[in-house]
Amino acid sequence: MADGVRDIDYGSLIRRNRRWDLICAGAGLVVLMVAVLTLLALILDLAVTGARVIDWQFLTSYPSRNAGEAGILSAWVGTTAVMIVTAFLSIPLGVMAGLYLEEYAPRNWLTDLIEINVTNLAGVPSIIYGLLALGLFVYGLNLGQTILVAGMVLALLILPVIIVSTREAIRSIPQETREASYGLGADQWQTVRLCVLPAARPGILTGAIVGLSRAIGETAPVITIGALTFIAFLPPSPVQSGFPFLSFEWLNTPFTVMPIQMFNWVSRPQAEFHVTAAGTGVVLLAMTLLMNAVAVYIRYRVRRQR
Amino acid sequence: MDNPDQQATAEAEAPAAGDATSSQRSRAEVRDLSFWYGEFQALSGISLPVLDRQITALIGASGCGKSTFLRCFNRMHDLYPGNRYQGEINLQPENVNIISPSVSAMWVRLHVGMVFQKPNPFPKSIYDNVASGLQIRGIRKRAVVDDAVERSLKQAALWDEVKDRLNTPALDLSGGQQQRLCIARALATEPELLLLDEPTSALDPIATAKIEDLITDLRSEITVLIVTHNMQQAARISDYTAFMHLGELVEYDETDTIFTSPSSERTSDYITGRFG
Repeated sequence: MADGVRDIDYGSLIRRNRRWDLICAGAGLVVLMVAVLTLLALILDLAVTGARVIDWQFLTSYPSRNAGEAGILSAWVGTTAVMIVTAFLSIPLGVMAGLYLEEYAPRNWLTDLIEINVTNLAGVPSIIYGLLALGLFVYGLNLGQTILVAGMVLALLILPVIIVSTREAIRSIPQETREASYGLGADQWQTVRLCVLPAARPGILTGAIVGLSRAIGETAPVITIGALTFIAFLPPSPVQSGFPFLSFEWLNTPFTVMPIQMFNWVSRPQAEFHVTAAGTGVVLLAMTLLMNAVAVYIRYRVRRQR
Repeated sequence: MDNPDQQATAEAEAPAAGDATSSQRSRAEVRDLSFWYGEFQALSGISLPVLDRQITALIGASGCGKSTFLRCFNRMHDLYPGNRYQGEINLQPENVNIISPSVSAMWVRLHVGMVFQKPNPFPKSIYDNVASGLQIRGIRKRAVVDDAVERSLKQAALWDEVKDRLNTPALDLSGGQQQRLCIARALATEPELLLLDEPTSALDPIATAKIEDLITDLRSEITVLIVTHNMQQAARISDYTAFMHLGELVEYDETDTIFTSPSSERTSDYITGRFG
């Protein structure tokens, strides 16, 4: 028996430690593989099934009763339009709210309460947001079942994600950087502009993209507010030939989005429609990946800026 | 090894400084300054002059309050709740008590520049960093800003190293360059008083030497108050030295006097390395 430090047999100690090292690393690898392979299998299955319907015709046709002619034009245009509204609403609101809570708000029971609630809001089921939007935006404010309302409800849905990630990004800025700004005679807002926002940009961006990636796949709240499943027209163009050249009429049109299109096709009995649904899934995944790629690129650019 | 040299420099300059003392204007006068972090009294009853266009060094053991004292001069303590000042720091020639609550901390910081212990450039380009003080003051004229950036980078002995890459990120610079950038950033606003809080403690000897050189070069134009834990540094670069202990000022005199014939036994103990 080893009674003191001097009596320990270091050789066997190292062997025992190494054995545990190997066991932990092995277990980790197995768990990782289970997760990654499941995901990979799902994506591969979707891609293999869906890829053969994806062609130019699929992307430029409206949905049809005939699976061979069906396309997702109105769905991807709808999704893009809704995501633009969501981004323009949620990012400024979320960043400003996070900034206020972190930089300006006093620390007291009220801000603690707000903090707890913001965190909890991130966990509220999305269909609850749909019900809220149906009652408040669609009937209460009489906005109708439009792109604007869909953008608003998805913006609400991802607001907590953006607020929390903004706060975390701001909190990780070293106090010395702030002192440098105050030391130059800056007031609080100048400090925010000079060093807080530039330093927090990568973190804020990550939060925004995580939020938007969640919003793009949401189905429940959009169905709840009454998005249509069959749309054979596009919203009016935002660019006009005559003055004032920009039009926001597209905000007030009925729409469909890709998850709804998928949902609609999957629930049909004909097997051909299941294939078009898989194709829609592939396009949706591609859009999400594209969004993430843009975020990675911007983050890379920002890092070069530092 | 370079001690004889420094001694020689110090002796050569001592008479000049001595002559000036009698007629020397002060840039700030500290009268009976006390400071509390909440309940804890960090400074008690400090009085000393900060002479115009001289380098005044603050020395003392860790925790003696020298950084706390320095940070009173630009009201950095105002950023944190529960801190309290008492007494006066009269900034000259305005004759304004800069720790009085009726004086805005922003006003003080617009007049008094500061360089911190750790280099803390903004996550922006070199140019934007140096220009930030002017931006805060609402100066937008490109020509004016360009001139100020070039002048202060030259003063900070950084111009030659960065003049071809002013638009590259400041955080790509080395630690020593970053600290000189922070000095340039402070100088760009032409402060009346420049506070340096152990500006070389995070740097290697070569970077330290460069910064010490530029500080001594600034002497003719600017008033400098520097905190240092390195006594050789105080001896090398400062004209006047204040020795602090446990929140009190033990001794203030010409640097030469402090280091050759201090009047307090505590000072001589500290300087000869018997404590601290």
